[in-house]
Amino acid sequence: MSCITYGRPQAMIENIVPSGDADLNYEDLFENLAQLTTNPIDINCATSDQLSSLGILTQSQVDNIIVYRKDNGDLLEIYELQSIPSLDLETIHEILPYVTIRSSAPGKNFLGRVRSQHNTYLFARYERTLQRADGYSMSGDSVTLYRGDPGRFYSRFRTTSPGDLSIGLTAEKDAGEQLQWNKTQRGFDFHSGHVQLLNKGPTTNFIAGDYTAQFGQGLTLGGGFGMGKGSETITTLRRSSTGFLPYSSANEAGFFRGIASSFSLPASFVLHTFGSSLQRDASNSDEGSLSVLQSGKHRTENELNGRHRLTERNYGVVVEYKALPRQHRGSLDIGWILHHTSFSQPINKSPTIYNTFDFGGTSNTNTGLFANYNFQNLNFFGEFSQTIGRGRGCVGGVLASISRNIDASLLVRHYDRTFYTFYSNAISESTTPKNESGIYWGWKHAINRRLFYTAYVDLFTFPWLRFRNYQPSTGTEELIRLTYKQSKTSEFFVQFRDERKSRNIPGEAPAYKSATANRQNWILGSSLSFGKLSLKGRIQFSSLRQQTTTRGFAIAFDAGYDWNRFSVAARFAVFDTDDFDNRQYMNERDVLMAFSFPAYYGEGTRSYLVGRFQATSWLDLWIKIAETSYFTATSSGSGGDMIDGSKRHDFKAEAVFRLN
Amino acid sequence: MARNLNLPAWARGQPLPVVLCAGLQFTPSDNFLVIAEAEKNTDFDPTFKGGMEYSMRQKFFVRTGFNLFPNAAFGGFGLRTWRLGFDYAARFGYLPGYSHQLSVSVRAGRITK
Repeated sequence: MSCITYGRPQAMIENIVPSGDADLNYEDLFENLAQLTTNPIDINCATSDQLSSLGILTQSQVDNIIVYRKDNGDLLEIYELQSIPSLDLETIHEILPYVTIRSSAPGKNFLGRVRSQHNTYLFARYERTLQRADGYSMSGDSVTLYRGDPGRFYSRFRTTSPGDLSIGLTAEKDAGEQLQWNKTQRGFDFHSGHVQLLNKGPTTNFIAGDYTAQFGQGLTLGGGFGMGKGSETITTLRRSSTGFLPYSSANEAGFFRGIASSFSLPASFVLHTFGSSLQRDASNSDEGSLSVLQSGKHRTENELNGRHRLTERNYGVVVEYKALPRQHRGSLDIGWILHHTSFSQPINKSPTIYNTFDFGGTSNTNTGLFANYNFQNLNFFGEFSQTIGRGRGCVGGVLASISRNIDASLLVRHYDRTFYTFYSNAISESTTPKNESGIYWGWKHAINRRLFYTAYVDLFTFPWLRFRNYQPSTGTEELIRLTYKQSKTSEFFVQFRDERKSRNIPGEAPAYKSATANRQNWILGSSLSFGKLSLKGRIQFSSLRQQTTTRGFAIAFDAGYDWNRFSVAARFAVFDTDDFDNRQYMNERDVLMAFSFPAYYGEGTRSYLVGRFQATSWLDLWIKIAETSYFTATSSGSGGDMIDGSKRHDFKAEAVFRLN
Repeated sequence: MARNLNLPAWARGQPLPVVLCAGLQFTPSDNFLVIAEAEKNTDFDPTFKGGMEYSMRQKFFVRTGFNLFPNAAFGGFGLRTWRLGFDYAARFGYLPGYSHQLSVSVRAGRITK
């Protein structure tokens, strides 16, 4: 019986999310986490990299599982995890939602496998903001009119047999996009699909369709969610070479479309190859310029003109040597990567003060080496990558289990300003690994069974100009988080983060002087549960000091209740921020497989209600209604998304069909 | 550690800076040593320092550390034999750049365990 553990993924997100001050599209970036809760990893087939990609197990725990499997054969039951050395009960509880033991016999025909699986689902989701945004009210011939209706529709089908096969299909239409059937659009604006076969003789992985690639530290090829600097200071530092994974998110950028395969060769070598050809959106803001767009929005005539204008081709090969852990030697994973990207038209961004060294041209090739080595209680990792004819980047470090209760990590990185990589998720302070050097020390200490704290210090420099900072600069970031688990059902934490980065002093154009801006964030949180009732409270405040000091504040109360077939979660939050810089990010509960991490800013309240009804054993119905209400503002949003009035209501409904 | 606690001054009455340091050292296990320290010089903002040393059988040491305000990163290693001690460390700061230190020590005379 598959149980959807509702609360777990939310808690995990808060610990691994990069301390949000970048406007990333979290809902789509959480795809890997969503996949794990509905398609758990099969412990008996999982590779070392798949197990460490959970972000929960240390490398020595992963190695112990692999060695146990080799010595004792497949695990028969999930309870057998307790006999694996160094896996304590708490860790087992933490990974339970994401792992399973596959019990079906391989060799059945396709329909038989689909029917006997716990992992077939289809969901259909509709969401809409009830108030009408300005974009829908433009005059009929305006280029900024949203041509479609204001609802967003997203549907996904996925069937997975862990270690065997996976098939998926996704269709999505953003708010404001039209349903059309013509040469360029077949129904919905965005379609995605894949067929994946696993472990068919020497071909360990074969995907036709949409996929991502993750090798080494994700410097050249990084797919899926890149966990950055957050309150989990140890396991999120190191990426795992999970290889090719099927893609089924609705994010319209960041994946490959074509064929990928992993082929195991003698002597522990694996050969990975991939090819991709994908239509990308592009725009020219002025004559002669062309840049790639990532948002995937095709609502207005302008956006539709840029739709699928550019063909991007990617080819690559990775030769990897993977040695399993042995008695006195840990696991070793080394590889060589070659990756080539080409565009059907030259990329040429309009020049600005800060983008002199941004990518331009029709092609880019990266080659590099990566290595991961485990030695007793130390885990060394690194990747080096060279952009042919341009710059280079490298990232590496060590995770150390200093004692039973203490873990430490060290990460060193350097990315040239002429280092170009389009699919990277390597650790960096900026949004891409470019124009940055840094050293990071992380620390995690469990003082006793109830109390633990994590901390990190990051010193970084930017050798060249950046967006909103027109001089080379240096900065620091420190974080400390103390968590007290009073019991299995109650937990309190306090977190402090301090960041000093240089940025342009406002109002100095065109002289553009810079000064250090000091940002500080505090978060206090608590969560308690009493039987079927769960309560959470959270207080956040922030300050930003450059020439003047501005502040932000938010406080939220959450409550949740489970009946037999119903469960309900609600929040009431109040926020007050001086400016957009002090916006408060708060993790919100949402319908199944949707993750919501919005920023509250301005002065107002936010409240929502999420409900779930288990109509039958194979159908779950979800609903979310939310209201954002501003005290004094008379409109919210900007441009085509501007909404008049001080209130905004959002509605989301989802039906989930599962085959058990 | 403290310096100039008696508040000495130059001839014209201008005081010399007073420096106070306080820190913690702990050994989570036989091979590791961790230090945290805060230093306050009256002329400057407080500086926070952290450092860690990993030793292999007390013969070979690897060290790393950081300073905050002013920011600097440190890395180094050391070797110990019966008679000789050898240490090398590099400090990296954004403006000053790299600065290297080397020290050699010799235990003279008869060594009793």
